Amino acid sequence: MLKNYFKVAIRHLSRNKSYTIINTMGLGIGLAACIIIGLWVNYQLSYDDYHQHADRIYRVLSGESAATPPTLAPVLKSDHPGLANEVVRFWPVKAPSDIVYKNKKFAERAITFSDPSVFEVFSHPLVHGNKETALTNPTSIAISEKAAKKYFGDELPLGKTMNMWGTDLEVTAVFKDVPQNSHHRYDFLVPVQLLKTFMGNMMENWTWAGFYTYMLAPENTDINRAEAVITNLLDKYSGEEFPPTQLQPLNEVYFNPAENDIAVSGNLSYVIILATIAIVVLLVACINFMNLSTAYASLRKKEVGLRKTLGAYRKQLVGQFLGEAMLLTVMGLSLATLLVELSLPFFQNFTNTPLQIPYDQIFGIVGSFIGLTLLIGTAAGSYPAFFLARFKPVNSLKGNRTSSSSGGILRKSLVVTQFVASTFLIISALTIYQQLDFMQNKNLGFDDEKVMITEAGDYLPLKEELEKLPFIESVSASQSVPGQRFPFYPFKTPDMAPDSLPVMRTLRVNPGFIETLGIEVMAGRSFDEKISTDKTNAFLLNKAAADHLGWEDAVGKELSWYNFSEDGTDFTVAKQGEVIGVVDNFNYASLHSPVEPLIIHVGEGINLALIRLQTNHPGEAVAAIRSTWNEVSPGRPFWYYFLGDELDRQYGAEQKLGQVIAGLTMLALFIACLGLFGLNAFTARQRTKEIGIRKVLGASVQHIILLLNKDVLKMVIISMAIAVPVGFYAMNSWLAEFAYKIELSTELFVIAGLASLVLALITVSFQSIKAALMNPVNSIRDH
Amino acid sequence: MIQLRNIDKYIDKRFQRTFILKGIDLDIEEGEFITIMGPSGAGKSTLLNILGFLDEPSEGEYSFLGEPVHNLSEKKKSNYHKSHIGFVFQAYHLIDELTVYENIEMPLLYRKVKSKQRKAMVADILDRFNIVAKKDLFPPQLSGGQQQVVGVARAIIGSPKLLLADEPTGNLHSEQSEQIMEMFTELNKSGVTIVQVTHSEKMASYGNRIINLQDGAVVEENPYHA
Repeated sequence: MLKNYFKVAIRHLSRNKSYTIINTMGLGIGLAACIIIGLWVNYQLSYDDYHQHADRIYRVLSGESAATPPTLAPVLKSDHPGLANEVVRFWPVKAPSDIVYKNKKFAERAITFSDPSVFEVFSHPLVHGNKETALTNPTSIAISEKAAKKYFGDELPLGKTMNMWGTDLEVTAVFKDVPQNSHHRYDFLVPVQLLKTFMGNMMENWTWAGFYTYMLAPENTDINRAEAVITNLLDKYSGEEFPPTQLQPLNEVYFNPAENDIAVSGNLSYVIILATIAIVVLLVACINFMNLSTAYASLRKKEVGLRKTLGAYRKQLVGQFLGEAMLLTVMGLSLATLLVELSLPFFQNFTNTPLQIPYDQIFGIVGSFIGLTLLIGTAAGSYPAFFLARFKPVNSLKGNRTSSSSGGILRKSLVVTQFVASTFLIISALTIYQQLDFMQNKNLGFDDEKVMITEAGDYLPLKEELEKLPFIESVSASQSVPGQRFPFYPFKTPDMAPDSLPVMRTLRVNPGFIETLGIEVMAGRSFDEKISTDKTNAFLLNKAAADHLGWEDAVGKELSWYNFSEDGTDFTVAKQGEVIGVVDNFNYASLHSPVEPLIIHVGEGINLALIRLQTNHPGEAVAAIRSTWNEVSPGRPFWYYFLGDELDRQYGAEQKLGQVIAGLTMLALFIACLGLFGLNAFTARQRTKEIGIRKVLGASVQHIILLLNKDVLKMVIISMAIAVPVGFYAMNSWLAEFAYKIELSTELFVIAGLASLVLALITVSFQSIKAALMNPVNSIRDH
Repeated sequence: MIQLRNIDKYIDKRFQRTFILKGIDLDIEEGEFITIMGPSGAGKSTLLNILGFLDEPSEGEYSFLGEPVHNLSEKKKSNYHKSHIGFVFQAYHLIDELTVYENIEMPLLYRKVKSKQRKAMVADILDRFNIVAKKDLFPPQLSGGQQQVVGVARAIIGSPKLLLADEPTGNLHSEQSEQIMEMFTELNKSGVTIVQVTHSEKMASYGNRIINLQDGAVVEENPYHA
């Protein structure tokens, strides 16, 4: 019996080739998109879950900030031994630092100071060494397998001596590379104890929040109580009032970056958006399947009637047609697997994640393959199956010709659903593109074109040499550049209460910074190298700072700025002076957030050089600058980037989202049009006799085309009426995440609507024109 | 075998009731070869469909082998289709996707006949109807007469007690028609009860009783052998 079903199915599918191809292709493409996005979503959700104790690891947040004092971890362990099994601190080195082994020397970015307990809390299996003793000696270093390979090749790394910051460190452990789905990444772990030799008393400071603290809680810990205990500790030791502590579960860290976070973070809403769109695409493909099968079902009415007269139970018939749906699904799935396999390298590269089909879990794959087949086969096949099995033999045997209106309403509403989805996706893609374009072209308040950032190094000689080069317009330097996080420091004005010490973001620069970036000075003047007091007693404010302080005319106002005292235990006044000018609000952070108040002053601790080029051949300029650098600082590695590129990278997530949504939109449109094409081909075929008679009676070609296209036109217009308000609402809520955003324009919706309308019309017109041009004699004689 | 008592079949349309069959009383004994005749729209096909459980009467009683049909479940009806009733249609109704062999085999599949036995039965019938050479062809590759031979072969392979034929020769020319009718006569001799609907008096003459329908009622039974 099964063989008979199978035979009929195969022969039916091979006879109606366009039907088979459209269904398999639509389903295959839709599923492939879904599988790839599924892999990506799964990857995103897998962040940090590889740690053995993942469910018991918490990150300590002070208020909304991830940064905690260096003193917290040791005190937490000694004062409340029962609260945490283990506590570990991280202090990632922010700027690239040189690590040297014999003649090998690389500028490394993934260096982190940490405690020996790091191997207890987190699961980093050791390839060499002992996790109890690794990092207990202050001059030890643990390195990743990758780093070991890079420095030592095939030699045994243990016991080798590497040099960092002028200190010799002994390799005591080699750990497996930190997986990419980890919110922190390091190739070099150095004991925090060593940091004391560089930081001195700062390490005893309760107000210097520069460390990231994690704890491994015992099972069944009362988290609320633990949070209260830690807040209490902070208040007690610092003598100040800390914001309430939050213990953030490890699996929430990746999607919920805190303030002052430097960990890798993801955007949960993008994960949700993409997962939703993937499901929509699959839905569109399934609808095709349902629609076409139901339409083509009328070709099988005779067979159903006949089988019933031969004594087939309804159950058997439902089974037969469900089975056929499954067969098509298997074909679609196979195509999808092939497509995924072929396109995966591209997506690995595009998403920069090691996405792969987990072939090692073969049972899982076979299981999900069968599961998907059953699910989609049933979802898409059950309506046609029951629809067919319901036919009464008397009616289905009477004649081959049955009205195509059966299931017509349902079929039409399904097509409308498809076009609602497609139009909605077009609206989303257009909005995201416009917003991206807006962000990339918005006047940031400074000119980021042709500005190169490099290490300041030995700054003054470097500047002197660079300024001799012909294609360099100006050179300046600063502590941070736009796109980086500017630090907060305390400040005070004379009219503030004596005990209040608010903080404001601060930027230390060299004179010429404002000019090099082309920031507009709105009042007063900018720093001048020739005026010596500018170095010691002058501040610039941005407009936001002046507004924040309520100063209409800020020039001449007095201000004092605080820094850590010599012993690193408290803040003291570091600079007193007056405001010499106010600059425009330049966007030094991303456009996700509004410009925050900022104090700019001339000071020490400059580590980045800004070089504005004046050439159309940046390659030559970079080569010249590199050789200058090598002359001034021989032996130091040279690195650089262009400010404009770096700033664009802030919107990398949106850029990728935009591209993926655009891609998915096209896929959804393609699949929907594919379905419409198949459906229309079927209707045109069904109506050939009607068209023939109409033509004999004198209908013109245009009349016939209009007749056939009218339905589609109606459906698309209805779907636009639904998609536009939904799209408007959804896009407005997405834009609400941005401080600087576009207005949703009418044009955008008109374009989206027109696009789906035109596509739909082109799709159906092929068939309609063919049907309309047909010689009526043929179509009438056939029937 | 079959008793029909006061069978009505009607369609209600708004305020009007249109009768297709009205007050039919009919007894059919096992081994009869009955022909139903009458003008277009007289209700011949409807009567045949009711006899074959494909349609239900609006009123009246129908008992098949002593069992009231209106009490039969869908499943029971299917079982009777498998074991007791065979159909032959004017338009043949062969499945275009299946070969001659597979079309004839299909009823046996629903009856869950073992593969070996199935082969023997199909081979036997192909031989009997002289269509062995055509067994691998698809229906559209055959002439109408050949298709109907396959249709008859399919109808009788399950050795039904009752064969219902709705204008079996309606689409065939006379030579083919005679061939089919001779098959029917053979079958009838071997004990199969046959009810056929036809317009042709010549075809009717193969049977042993004629029922004349007009406007849904039996006007004459057996006008020739009265």
